[in-house]
Amino acid sequence: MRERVERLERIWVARPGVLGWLTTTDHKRIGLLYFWATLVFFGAGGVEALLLRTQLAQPNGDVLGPDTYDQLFTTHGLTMIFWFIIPMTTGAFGNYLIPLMIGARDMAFPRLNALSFWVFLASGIFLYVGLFLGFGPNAGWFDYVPLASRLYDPARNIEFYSLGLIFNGIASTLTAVNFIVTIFKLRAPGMSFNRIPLFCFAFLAASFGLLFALPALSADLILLFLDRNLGMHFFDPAHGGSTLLWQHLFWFFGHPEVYILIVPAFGIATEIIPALTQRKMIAFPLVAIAELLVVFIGFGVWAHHMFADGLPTTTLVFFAGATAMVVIPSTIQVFAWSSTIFTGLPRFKTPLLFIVGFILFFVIGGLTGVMFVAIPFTQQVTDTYFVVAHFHYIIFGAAVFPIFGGMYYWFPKLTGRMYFERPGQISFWIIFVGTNLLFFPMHIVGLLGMPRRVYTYPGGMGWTAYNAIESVGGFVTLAGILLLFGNLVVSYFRGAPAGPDPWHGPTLEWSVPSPPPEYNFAVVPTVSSAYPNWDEADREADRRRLAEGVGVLDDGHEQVVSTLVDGEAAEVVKMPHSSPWPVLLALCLSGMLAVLVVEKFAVAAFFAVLLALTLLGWHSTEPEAE
Amino acid sequence: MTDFAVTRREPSLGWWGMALFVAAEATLFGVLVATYFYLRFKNLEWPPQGIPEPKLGVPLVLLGVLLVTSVPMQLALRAANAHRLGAARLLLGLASIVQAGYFAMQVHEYAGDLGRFAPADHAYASIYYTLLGADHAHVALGLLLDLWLLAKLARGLTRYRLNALSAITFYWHAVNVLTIAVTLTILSPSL
Amino acid sequence: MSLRRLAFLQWFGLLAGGLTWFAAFLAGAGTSVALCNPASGRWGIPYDTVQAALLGLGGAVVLLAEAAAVAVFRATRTVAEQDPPPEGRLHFFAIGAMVGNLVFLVIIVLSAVATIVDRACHQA
Repeated sequence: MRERVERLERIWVARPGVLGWLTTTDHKRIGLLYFWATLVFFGAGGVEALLLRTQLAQPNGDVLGPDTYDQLFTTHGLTMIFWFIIPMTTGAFGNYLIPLMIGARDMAFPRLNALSFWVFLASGIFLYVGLFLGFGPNAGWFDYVPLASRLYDPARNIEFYSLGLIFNGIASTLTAVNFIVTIFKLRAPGMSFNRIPLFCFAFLAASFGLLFALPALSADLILLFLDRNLGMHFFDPAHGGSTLLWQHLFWFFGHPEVYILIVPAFGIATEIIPALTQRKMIAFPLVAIAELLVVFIGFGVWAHHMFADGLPTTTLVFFAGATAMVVIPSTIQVFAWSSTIFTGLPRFKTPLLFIVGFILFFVIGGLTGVMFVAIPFTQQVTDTYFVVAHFHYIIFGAAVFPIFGGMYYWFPKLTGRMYFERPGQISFWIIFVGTNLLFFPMHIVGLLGMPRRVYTYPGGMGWTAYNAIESVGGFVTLAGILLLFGNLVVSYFRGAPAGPDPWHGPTLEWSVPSPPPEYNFAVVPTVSSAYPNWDEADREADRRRLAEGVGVLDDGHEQVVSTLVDGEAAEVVKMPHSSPWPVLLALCLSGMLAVLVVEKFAVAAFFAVLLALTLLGWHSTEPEAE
Repeated sequence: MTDFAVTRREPSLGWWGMALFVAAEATLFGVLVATYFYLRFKNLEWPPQGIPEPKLGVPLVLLGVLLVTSVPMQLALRAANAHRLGAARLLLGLASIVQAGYFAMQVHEYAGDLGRFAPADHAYASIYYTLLGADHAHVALGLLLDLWLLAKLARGLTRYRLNALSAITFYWHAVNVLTIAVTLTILSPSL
Repeated sequence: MSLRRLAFLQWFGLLAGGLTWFAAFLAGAGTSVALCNPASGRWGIPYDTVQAALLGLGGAVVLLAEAAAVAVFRATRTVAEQDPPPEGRLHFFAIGAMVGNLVFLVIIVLSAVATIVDRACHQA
């Protein structure tokens, strides 16, 4: 048995040093790369937010001028959505955990996974180069025309917007494809569809969301690029175009996008709750279908972002109807989570505290969301701070809180050490108080008429005190976040050894050492439920098979492929391992898109040729040749 | 070459990756077609004054030619599955030549249109050239995939290359179906 | 009921409702966009008839999907949701389908009734 494990270790050994990281295709390393990169972007987005809050702390603020303010609030929104939440949930959590949870050794397309990361990183660098050059996107994260047209925004700012997002979208699309094929085909035999962990259902839903929503954004951005740079007229009413076309295409993407933001966070919550209450999730099939339903129905609600545009009610009722009903799957989940906590044996450790906080925030944000179903109400509060309050309760509360909870929960698995509990709990409370101080008054000040996206406001409107509280709340939140990360850093060096399974967690990642070996599982795990780590008989069967040398799959980088629906073993494939092509391809793609900003089309064509050559190199090796 | 299992019932991972990529591209085309009709609803004259209505003949014939290439592609896959490499290469080569001929004709037509009206004339022209251009770009990509595959198959058949053939065949079937939608949309003012 | 029959009913129950709602939604909303824009004047769209037809057809398919899901659920009544496939998986998908189809049905009805009853092209 020891021999077989040593053999696996030799086969799966990682290349050392920086080169090892540049050429890695291991999902765990890629997950870690995403983790650190997104934290840097989170910091940037946070600095932007605090600058905005400092400017708005008092009336007639003069910390930032209007142009700078426009670039900062636009980049803040873009950064938090596309360079923090999506890559943190999908790129970091998803990449690291999905293969472990389904009993696989890596993603279905390891090199594609690496490519996703490098393209994502390049897209962020691209965006921030634009910002530092003074050409940061400045027309809001949804960049409406005609403000974003060449007429009103003649400089390069919008090119950084469109190309940066197309770039980022490529990374997300590749990730989505990878997740779907991995969850469909690489599950351990025995893991039929009804036994897939809820975390994986959530990521499956989010991946389908990304796959079908991003093309609308890409199309919109390409049309905008064509209008601005080649004189076309998609959005120009004087020549047969339509400004509302931008909005339809944008929100066809944009609404599913917000579900893509929170559904992975739901997935994190649905793993933490069973683990920290030692109870299986109530209504498991309903929660699973709810994850999928909320994204699916979310494709039919987009014009609720356009209720104040003057569209006919005969059209808008379709969207109002779906918006009203999209609440149902979310409500199902809230009831399932809450009742599981109430009927289980909850240990209110830091991860569960963040999840309870998440549920509270999500309910409040959800309630204000339901208010928007009423078209007349929406027309009153559109473009006021009420909307800003709503989406921050949802995004910060329902996406970021589970991310923080997840960081604490999986910290022992990634590092082999336990975090310090007391500072963890304190960090939760500080962040909880801070975010309520920061975002709750926005409801009130919005109803009192304060518009959003204003760089300052006059005194005497009744808004001043609320804005001051919000700004204080922002810095309180900062303190809590600093404590959170400080705790994790200190725990990394000084935390108590955690062992493989400090929580008695339900899923397979807790059945392997902390941190997991490069090959994840020494034998293909036996699975007969969605809570495999609680099935002691199956884990015992694994130990027996390892001792007998059965199912070790050590003839190269081997991986079992199963049937899609019922998880029956179909074949064994050989996976790629360690390759320079992804980072090289990302460089070519970056070069190509970067020169498009400065309209050097010939140079872009040169990079396209390099791209083609790199693709040829990538496909020059075949699995059997290993 | 390397031995492998004959006619596995399960599509390969590569096929799945291609299928999902195709789903995304189909959505892209769906959105562009919706854009076409959205703009059409907004305009009393479509095409506007000064831009000729699309001719039906040549585009429909070319569409038929492209659709027919699905047959040799599928037959090539069947031949490869049955280890008949020579037949597979021949059928793939035949399909590629016809596809290339189709593409060349379409480029000629596109250039001809550009001589009559420009994308910057009106939103009609903008969506006309963009939608068609997107379709032709996907055909061009398919041709590059064909070339790569022919080069690979020249050196023999492996499981990897068989999986590639199944993925690329699927790609072509999808492009052909999408081209039906695009062609009917572009020709809709004259239908 | 044979396994083959059950599997067909399960897939129909799971997928038909959602796909029908989405198709009916695109058709219904698309028709309203067509009606309420300048170019449609020439086409004489019988709006209420179209929407009523979408309601009838869409609603019928979703009801059939619901019936299929219920049939599979009842046929697998004794099966637990984590049981081995195919029975466990059939039962699991049937539960999900039963809930989903109800939601789709309500959306179709709400939207169709509202759009028919409302004054055509009245600006919000």
